Amino acid sequence: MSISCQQFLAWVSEYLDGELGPSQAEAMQEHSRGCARCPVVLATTRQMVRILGDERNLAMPEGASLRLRQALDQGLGESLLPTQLRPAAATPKPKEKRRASLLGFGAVSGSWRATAWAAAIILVFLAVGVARWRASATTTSGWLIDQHCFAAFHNRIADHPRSCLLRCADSTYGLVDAKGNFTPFDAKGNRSALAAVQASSKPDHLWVTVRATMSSSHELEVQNLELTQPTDAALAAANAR
Amino acid sequence: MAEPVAVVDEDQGLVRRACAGERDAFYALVSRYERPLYRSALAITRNPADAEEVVQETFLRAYEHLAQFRGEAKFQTWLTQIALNTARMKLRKNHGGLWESLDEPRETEDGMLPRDVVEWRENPEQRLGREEMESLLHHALNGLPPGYREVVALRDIQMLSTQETAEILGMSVANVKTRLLRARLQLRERLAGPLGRRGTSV
Repeated sequence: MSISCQQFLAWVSEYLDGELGPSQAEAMQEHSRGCARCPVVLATTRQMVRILGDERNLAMPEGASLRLRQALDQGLGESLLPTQLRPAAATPKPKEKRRASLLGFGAVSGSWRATAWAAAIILVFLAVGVARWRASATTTSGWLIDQHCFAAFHNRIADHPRSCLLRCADSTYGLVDAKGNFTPFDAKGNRSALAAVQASSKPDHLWVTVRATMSSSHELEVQNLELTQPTDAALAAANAR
Repeated sequence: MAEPVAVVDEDQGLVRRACAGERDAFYALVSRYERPLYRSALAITRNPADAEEVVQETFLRAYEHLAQFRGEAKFQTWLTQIALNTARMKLRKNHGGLWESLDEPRETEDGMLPRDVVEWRENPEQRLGREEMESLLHHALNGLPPGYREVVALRDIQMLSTQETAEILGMSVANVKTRLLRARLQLRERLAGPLGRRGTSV
């Protein structure tokens, strides 16, 4: 069967999907051999379909997955997690930015600036003092993971490999408690976690014990951190998945 | 694309467990489908914030109505139906009544004729970089009528079969095929300029 360019075009999509009958498909191939333009249209349409199907294109942005889980945690009824360990409602911003805004007196000019700095320093000391007084450090443990991979490994945190943790050092480390919730570490905790992972030889199943206080932005302000053996219950839960 | 039977069975099992109150089972379904749903929602709404909301609302609605999922359809089909309705509502809200009139694309032969017929570069994502590729796709999708974007989202992004797409959209298989052909040819045309290997024009 010999077909025109117009017919080729009309069948090109079904041809790509393998939905044409054998004689129609054969006619497409025969036309391709004798036409300069149609095979290019076929090849580029195939490339276009591949680009759309490639999950790296139009991909979900970083953070969206975590925001989805937080929205679901709220929307699906009461969370099983104790309030003090719940992650912050919004994705925690980098610590530097918060500090910058706290001390950002760029708009204040002249002699006011010195007074403002003095006031700020006193306030910071007061705040730190109050925070110390209110929150005494406790010891917590859980699976160590970074925020970026938490979403993808939500149901198999223990399998998250050390190699990936090292690659994700730019993300925020934190721990996942028995209820499967992620709580991020502060900057010091992140440094300690990275050092501990670098020093470890375990390929995965990285369990961490921290002595920390919970900050008002729901970060664990880590005083000290070490990799330890997962509890039997956590191991059993991980193996059950 | 036909889903492996194991995945479908696994979904049914997870739905049963989620219905019985196992939150983890529901989250396993979320992990499995959040990404394809987001990509489809983005193709339809063309707005990342809307797409994110569509995914959130879809899973909340799915959870709420999970007991009504009978298991006659694939879970993915059921979920996609919810997502599609949610995305349509979002579009209507954002564009007033315009959406309805845009829904039925004018069926002219004109849009089908390929004008830019050159071969494309291999692996354009690697050459262009992720951001440029995203902006090209956004631009290309922007020019498609909503009805075409829906078919592309279901067939080429979610990889649902022609039959499943027809069921979700409530149209005939033949109609899905026609829309898909036109949508693909238009998208091809819009990407041909930036992705074309200049100097090898035929």
